[in-house]
This record gives sequence, structure tokens and C-alpha cells, in this order.
Amino acid sequence: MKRIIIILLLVLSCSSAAFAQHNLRTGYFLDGYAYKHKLNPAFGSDRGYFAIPVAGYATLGVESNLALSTFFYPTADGRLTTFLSPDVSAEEFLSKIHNNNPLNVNTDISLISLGFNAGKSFNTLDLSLKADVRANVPGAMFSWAKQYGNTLDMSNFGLNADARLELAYGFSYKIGDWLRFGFKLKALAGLVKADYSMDKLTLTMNEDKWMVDSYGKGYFRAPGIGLSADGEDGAISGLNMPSDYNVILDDFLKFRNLGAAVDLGISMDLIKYLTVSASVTDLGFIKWNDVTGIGSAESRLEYSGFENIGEEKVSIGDQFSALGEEALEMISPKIMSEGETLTDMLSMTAHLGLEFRMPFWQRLSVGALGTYRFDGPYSWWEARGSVNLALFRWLSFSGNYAYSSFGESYGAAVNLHPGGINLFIGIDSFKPAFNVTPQYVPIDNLNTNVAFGLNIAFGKYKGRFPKKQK
Amino acid sequence: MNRNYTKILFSTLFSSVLMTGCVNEEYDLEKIDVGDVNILENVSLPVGSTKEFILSEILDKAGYAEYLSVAQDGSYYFHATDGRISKQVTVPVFQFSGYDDENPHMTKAAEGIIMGSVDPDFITPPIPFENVVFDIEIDQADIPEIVRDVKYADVTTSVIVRFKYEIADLPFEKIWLSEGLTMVFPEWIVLGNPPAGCQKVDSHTIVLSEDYSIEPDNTSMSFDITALDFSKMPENQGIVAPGKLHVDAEVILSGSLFLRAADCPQSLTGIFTPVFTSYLHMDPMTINYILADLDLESETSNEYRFSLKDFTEFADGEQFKPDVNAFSLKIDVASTIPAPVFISSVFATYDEGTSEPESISEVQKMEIPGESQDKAATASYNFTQDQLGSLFSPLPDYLVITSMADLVAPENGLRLVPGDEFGIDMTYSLDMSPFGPAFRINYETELTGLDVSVSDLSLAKAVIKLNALNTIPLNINLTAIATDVDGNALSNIKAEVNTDIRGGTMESPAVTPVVITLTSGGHLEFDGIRLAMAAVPASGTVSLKKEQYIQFTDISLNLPEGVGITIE
Repeated sequence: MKRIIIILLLVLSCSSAAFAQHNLRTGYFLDGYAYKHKLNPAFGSDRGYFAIPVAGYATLGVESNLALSTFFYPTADGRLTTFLSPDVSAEEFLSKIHNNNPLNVNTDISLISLGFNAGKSFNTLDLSLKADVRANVPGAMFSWAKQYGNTLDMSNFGLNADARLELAYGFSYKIGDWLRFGFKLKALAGLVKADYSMDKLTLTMNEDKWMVDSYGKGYFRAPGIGLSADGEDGAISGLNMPSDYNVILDDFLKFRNLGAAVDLGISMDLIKYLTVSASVTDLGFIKWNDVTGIGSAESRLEYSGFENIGEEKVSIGDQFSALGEEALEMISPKIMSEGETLTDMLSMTAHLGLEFRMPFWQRLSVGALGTYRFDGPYSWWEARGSVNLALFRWLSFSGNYAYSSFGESYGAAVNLHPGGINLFIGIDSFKPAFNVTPQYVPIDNLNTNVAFGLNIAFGKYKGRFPKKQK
Repeated sequence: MNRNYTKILFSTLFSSVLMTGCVNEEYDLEKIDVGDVNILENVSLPVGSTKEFILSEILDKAGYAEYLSVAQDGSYYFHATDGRISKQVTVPVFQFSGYDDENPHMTKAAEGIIMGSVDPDFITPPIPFENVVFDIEIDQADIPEIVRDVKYADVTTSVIVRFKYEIADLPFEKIWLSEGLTMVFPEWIVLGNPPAGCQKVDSHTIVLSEDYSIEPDNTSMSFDITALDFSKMPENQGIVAPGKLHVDAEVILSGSLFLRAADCPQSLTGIFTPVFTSYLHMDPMTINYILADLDLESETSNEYRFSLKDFTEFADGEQFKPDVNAFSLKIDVASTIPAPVFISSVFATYDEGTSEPESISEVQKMEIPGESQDKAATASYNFTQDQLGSLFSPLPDYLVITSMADLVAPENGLRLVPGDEFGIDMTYSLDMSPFGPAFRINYETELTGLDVSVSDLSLAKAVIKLNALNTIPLNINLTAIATDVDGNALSNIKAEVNTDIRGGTMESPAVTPVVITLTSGGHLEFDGIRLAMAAVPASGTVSLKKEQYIQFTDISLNLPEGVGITIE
């Protein structure tokens, strides 16, 4: 059993690309959507629910400002060529490249989740696994690949992976007919922390000298798993996987990497047809213990060729191979410290929502949602406008348009929520599906977030549209 | 139920149309045709710097060094073997011949002697006699020929005049020459101190200051001669020809005599006419010193032969072209002759196996100042093309220099003591600039290990940039040949060099940026570059020094068009 849990945890944390952490923003104004509380803890649900484990709430998010169309270009004669082709101008290609080009893949899976109404309050209890894998590719790398300047600047190239278990209790309360506030208290248990950023990595290729400047730093922590280093310089060569999985579980169960966070939210019906809401989520931290500090010291490697050519036979190929090995050795992360303590602030997300219900038919509303994620070089923003329709008390839709750091997107969601079941499926951007290759590979920015959930609903309907009393 | 199927069918069709409408055929990944793309455009690869290719190594490798000499400042030159010839000049020991008058000069008193009584104290009045003229003629043919002219000779000799008399058989025991008798020698004879009873009126005239008795037999008068002043000799006398002395002069004796009765044992009266005979004898003249002019030519004539065969052998090469007009032919002379001498030389060139000279030049009157016997006067003479013309064009096998010295005697002659020895040394040296305007030297070096191997990639153009740091005053035409890893030339690769390398100096090196462009049909693959340098003098004749060098610095390999990749 232990082994199954461990494998599950590792698979989930390491293959986090399969799921999404970020919440379905298309669901912010979707009537009957049981997991609005993940976006704003002030939001309740029209019924209580109990999530079917794993299937109750699962998201997969992919965000990037790069797209297939960034790298592939149709030609006039019907071919498809790459950005490297001389037919593609540097201006055209580089106009699609940003200084930082993140690729974020994330997942959020509710292992256990339930929510229930109690009087004027709505309470939730949620155990989730959240994981992020992020990479940032500096635009200068693409620029160099196209134009081959003298300097290849790969600074800010980074890789980051996080995985944590999150046990949250949420509470929202309605005050009067117009105000709801809520909070969510989260106990966090860190699973994996891996971060490495090349703060400086430049290759300067002048005629008289090649130079590699590098400086990188990062951390690593995974339960029961260590880093192996070889050589005199301590370059990391791999992971030290224990032969006995109990080691991993035992380490994890010590809960050595704990943290806490809070979500705060408020919702106000300012006038009869207008609701304003705001929230901040993941306001907290995780304190990681026994962290291994990794990095490469600030250093420079210079190569200016041979001296006294003619006295002995030289080989530039060999020299560059040696230079390459030396450079690789220089920039390779090394174990810099052991047993460090690291307090890692969570990436906070803020939402500001505005929903206006049509006076002539309040089941139809328009909404505006602004989102900002505070995540250092991986930060992003989004403005999303939506049209929401609660066609029936058990069936609702939302369609929206968004513009964000990653470009534009179109989202949609449907929620089937009759008594006894709450089934939703939504996508923050289905635009990629509107422009695909014949192989159904999205051509535009692969910037979307898909959420799916199947929950058992219970309790009386306490939504916005109660049955009219006959 | 049928209605539901209709809905499902409709939905499926709608979805299919929708999905079909979303498919962008332009992005069919099956049609990816990357084609030819270039990567690594304008990337530069530093290669480094070569060693310094030092001229001494270059010449050594070309086989030139063994023929060349190196001066103290490192300059190369061709040096023919030095030669020194010493000549000794000895002032000959010789005499001027004496003179012996074989024919007696007989004279008599101009008038008779009247003996008036037998008074024993009777003395005749002075009886004048005819002038006696001694004709001195010397023709000496054994004067050493080196003595070209004599201006003055300090000698040791004497002149003896002997007298005999007869007075009609009268037994006078003596006769008397009267005071005032005069003997006039030629002006060029310098007399010494006169004997007792005589006075020297001037350097060549003697007068009796008192009466002088002559005995019947062998009575004589002797006069010392201390010098011969050749400058006072009439024309055509003195050293009239090499080895020949000719003197033709007169000594005139004039005066009177008288008799005393006491000198005759018997008393006589009457008139008597005394007759006397005189002889003149001059001893050979021992020379103490002379003021003379010497003919040194025969004594100092010498011949030196330079062999230029090494040089001609060296110059036979196609590359090596010495500057036959830039030579330094030097004669150093040291002379202890105490007067200036002129050196004259004849320069003749010969080829092996021929006796007729190819070229002759003559230079005269190289003056060496005179010092002293103990201190040599020195002088050095450099001969250039201006003086010798195209002596070395074409370059001969031999150069023969024949030199001789000629004395430049002072106007009054050079004071020479017989037996004195003088020396004259002549040292010959010949240097020649090996690096004339037509000089060529070829040298090759190779930059290997560039290791440009693109395998399946396409590389049409590579550029090697470098700075040529040249301290050799030779302009260098550079050609490049791409080579494979075994050093074999790759004919399929065209290599172009954009410029020649300028010549410089150690003090002011010339830096020439050089760009070597290598192109091929598209598959440029090479391991090295063979740099062939053809060097010519930057201007005229140049001085090359062993430490001069050329070095290629800041070498970089550039791919201006990048590496082509064809992706199927």
C-alpha cells in the first residue's frame, strides 16, 4: 500500500504536466459550479457536494507565449518550413518572441473534497495535490538561433518544479442579502521542490575570444531522494533513488516541509443586478527543510585560441570539445550546500470579478474577470469577459473571451448540476482547437486550462434562482 | 428514439464540419520541408596565433643560411674570404761612384820666372798660371731603381788634388802656391770643413788663406764633400733614368805660384817657366741619407684573388637574386712609409676556366697619409658601383685585385736612410648584399587542426581572418591552399587571399589584416591551410636580419554564410 501511495505521489508530482493547478477561470461566473471556492473562498455552492476521488476536480493547464506558428511557417508553394528558413525574415520570427518565454504546465487534483451548506455559511474541506512544472526560455536564445549574433545570452533560463499536498478548510458566510465573505485555511505539505535558474549564462563569440559567463543557483528537495555528485567539482550527475521505497514514505510522513496559506475573498451584490467580487489565493508559504542548495559559482571561461601554432600540431576540434566539456562542467549545477532551510513563498493569485445580470432576464449575465498571478519571472495577467447563461437551475453555460500575457483565448464551460450530481467540464481557451494542423496539433499559442469534475451533489438548492413559489 | 438518433447524427455532422473548418491545411506537419537552412551565420571562431616565423629559420630551411654571414647587428650579408697582403720596402744601401781623373792637367806659368840673383832670400813675384779645369763626369748605372729621384744626398767622401811640377830641370825642392788660389767646385757639391791654410768662401769654393808649398812628388790637397745637392744640378743631370746617375761638371783651379831661391840648392839666374801637373780624385761617396723620391710600384705590387664561387652557386637558385650593384668592396691599408702614398688598384673579374677578364675596372690614387716608421698610417677605402660600375654583373667566379703603392714624396724629397725598412699592409674584403631588388624567397607553413568537417552539412564558404605582423622588410604575396588531415592539397576548394602582406621592420612592424576566403561547391571540408609566402624586397635592396620575423596573430575562422542544413 505504501508503495502504491509513493508511486502515486511521484507520478503525480513528476508528471504534473498531465494536470493543472490553476483554476478554471471560465467557471468564475458559471452558475452551479461547485469549485468556485477555489477561485474565491467567498463563493459558496447551490448544493453540497462530495467529490469522487481524483475525478471530482482535475485540471490541466498549459501556458506559453510560444506556439507552433512561432516556429513553423507556410510557404507560398504550399510547403511548411521552419523559422530557420531564409524565407522567414528575422523580423517576422522575432516579433513573436518575447524576452521571457515561459512554458508552464500545472495540475490541481482534488483527492478528497466536499462542501456543504450550513445555515448562511458554506464549508469546504479539500485535500488536493498541486504541481507545477515551469520552464523559461530567454528570447535571446531564439534570436541568436535565427540571427547568430556575437552573443548568445541565455540568462534567466530556468527550470522549476513544485509539488505539494494541500489540506484546506474553507468557510464563506453570507451577511444580509448582498455580502458574502470567505476564507480558506490551508495546511501545506511540500513534496518536491526543484528549482534551478541560470541568472547569468552568456556565450560571447568574438573573433579573438570566446567567453562563457555563468552563474546559477537553485534548490532541490524531494522526500527520500538525494542528489548524487561525482568528480572533484561536485557536479550533479543524477538522483540517488533509494532501493527501499519506505525511505521515501518515511521521509514524507515526517512532514518536514510544512507550510500554511490562506485564501481570502469577498462578494458584494452592490445593486440588484451587479455583483462585485475579489479574492487573493495562496497567500502563504512552505518551509522546506533539508534542502540541498545547488548552483554554479559565478565564473568565466575564456578561449582565445592557440598560441605558437606551428610548433606543434593542434586540433581546434579537440580544443572545442575540451572547451565544451569545460563549459558544461562550469555551468553544471553542483551541490553547494546540504541541509538548508528554505522558506518558499507561494505564488499568489488575485482575482477581481464583476458580474452584471440582465434586468430583463437575470439568468443571462455578463462578467469581467481580471486575474494576476504573482510568480516572479513566471508571472502573468489576464482579462476575461464572459457571457453566462443559467438556462435551467441544473444546466448552465459560460462562454468568454480573454486577453492575457499569453495572447488571446476563448473559453467555455458547461455545468450539469441537477440534484444528486454535479458534472462540469470547461476550458479556458478552446482557441487552439479552432486552428489546428491536419494532425490536430494546435497552431496558435497552446494556452489553455481544462477542468473536469464529477461530484455527488446533495442538499437543498440554495442557488440564485430558487423555484418560484406557486 | 428516432428523433434522438437524428439529433446525434446531426450533432456528429455538425461537429465534423466544425472540426474540418478548424483544420488549417497550411500547417500540415506532413508537408514540413525545412529545405536548406543556414545556421551559425557570422559566427567567428578564434584560432589563435602562430609562432614567430623567424627569418633565420626561414633562410635555414631554404638552404641559404650556410652561404651567408651575420653581422654584429644581425644583418645577413655575403662575405668573401678576407685577404691580407704585406709588402716590405727597404731603402737600398748604395754609393755614388767616385771620380778619378786619369789625364793630368798640365799647365804652366803665364810668364817666365826671372831669377835675378842668387840671393838665397830671393822670392819671385807671384806668377799666374792658366786655369786648371777638372772635368768631372760620373755615369753610374747601378743606382737602385727604387730610387726614382734624389734631391739631396748627405754623403761622406773627399776630393784630392795632387800636384807635380817641373822647372827646366832645376832642382827646386818645392814651389809655392800663392795665397788666394781658388778652387771652385760645382755648386751642387757641398764641401766640408777646409783643410788648414784654406778658407771656404761658399759651400763649393775654397781659397788658400796662406801660401802653400808643393813638394816635388805627390803633393796633394784634400777636401771633404759632405753632400750633393741634386736640386742644383743642371738639367739632365742627377738621376736621369731609372738606375742611372749622370753628372758632368767642372772644378776650376785658378791662382798663382811663386818660387823661392832658398828652395833651390843652386843659384840660378835667367828666365824659367815653371810647369806643373794636377790630378783630381774623388772617392766613392758613402750615402748617409738622401732626400729622394722612391718608386714603390715594384716593391708594393700585389695581387689578391677573391673566390665568389659559393656566392654564384648560391645565386644560381631561381629564388635568390643578390644585388650585384650593392656590394661593399673594401681595401684597408696600413703604411709605415713616412710620406703619403697613393694606392692604385685594378679590379678584374674572371669566370672559371677563362683567362680573359670579364670585366675590368681601375681605381687610382687612393691616398694614404704618411705617419712615421713607428706609427702606421691607416686608411680604408670602400668601392661602390659608382667607382667600379657593373663589375659584378653578371656575377663572376673570381675577382682579382692588383694593387700597388706610389710614393708621394715631398717637394724636397723624402729623407731616407739606406737600410731603413717600411711596411705596407693591404687587407681586402668583399661583402655583398644578398637581397637585391630581384630577390625572391618562398616559404610555406601550415595552419593545421582547423578541423572544418561538416559531414552531412553544407558549408560553402569559410573565411579565415588574421593579422600578419611583419618585421621583415619584404612584401609578401600570400597564397593559401586548403589541405586535408594528411596535408594533401584539396583542389576542389578555392582559396583567395585579399591582399599582400606589407613589409615592416623590427622598429616599426607592419600589421596587415588578411582575409582568406575559402569556397567550394558546397561541401567545404578541410583540416588545414597551407600558407605559401613569396617574399620580395619592399623597396630596392633590403637588409635582412636574423631576428626579423613574421607572425600571424588574431587568427579566426568565420562562417559568413553559416552552415547549411538540408532537412528532408
